[in-house]
Amino acid sequence: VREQFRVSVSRFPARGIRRNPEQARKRRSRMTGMNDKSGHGQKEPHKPEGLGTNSEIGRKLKQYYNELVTEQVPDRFMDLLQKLETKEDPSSKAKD
Amino acid sequence: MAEHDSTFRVDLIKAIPSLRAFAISLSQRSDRADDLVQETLVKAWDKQASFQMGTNLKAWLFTILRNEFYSQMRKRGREVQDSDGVITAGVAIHPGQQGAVDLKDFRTALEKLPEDQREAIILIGASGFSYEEAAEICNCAVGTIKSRVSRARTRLQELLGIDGEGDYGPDAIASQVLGSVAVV
Repeated sequence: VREQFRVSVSRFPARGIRRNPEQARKRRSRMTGMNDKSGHGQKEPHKPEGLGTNSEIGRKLKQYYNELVTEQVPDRFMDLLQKLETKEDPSSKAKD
Repeated sequence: MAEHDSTFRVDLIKAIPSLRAFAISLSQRSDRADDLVQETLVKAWDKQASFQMGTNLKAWLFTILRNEFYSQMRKRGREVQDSDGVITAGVAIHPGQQGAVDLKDFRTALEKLPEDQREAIILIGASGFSYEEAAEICNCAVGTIKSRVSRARTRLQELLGIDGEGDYGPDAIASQVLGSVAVV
């Protein structure tokens, strides 16, 4: 029962995963090497209680966040930084 | 010439996606979030001399963004939270038929958290900061972050109807199965 349980839980329709290979990889490893209870997130620097990749909340949080992180960055920011740098360094005006 | 500036600029550019994600998580509005990011970039640029190379730029930027967010909120007289007039306490969002929590439901639940809890759980559970870093960003004690994260998690579980027990959060189908088979 437990086994089925895990599989069914890790089979969420999971939007946004395609765009994130890292998470997809983690998911795959969850689905294959599932027997070891502590075997999740070997690469995580810290394991916040209950927010690991095995927890529903932990997974959703990452999914939510990944969707935001992978959004296209609006051009205005590139323009802004360009402007800031030009403003900062008047000599750059000279060299066209 | 201006090599340091260019490196700094490149680092800022790299940080933009996470800054935006954090800003949206905080403000819940993408237009306001982008203004926050913009303000953060300008401030960071002006203060770049005070940034110590080799330390955590991302944490430094998040701190600036967060301060900016709260100072804007204060200016606006705190019109945030419960903007739709719904009293949030006890309003549970029930996951849909297939059991898995829908991302939309999750977002709605996240919005219902007080800012301090929301930012804590985002920093720890999504942005990848340690408790120590998050405490620094939020200018509070590590223990405070821990308890905010824990409260946020409990609240989200309540709102989403996820069983707090164990890591395998039963979905509707699974709990039916478990119910009928008698839990092992």
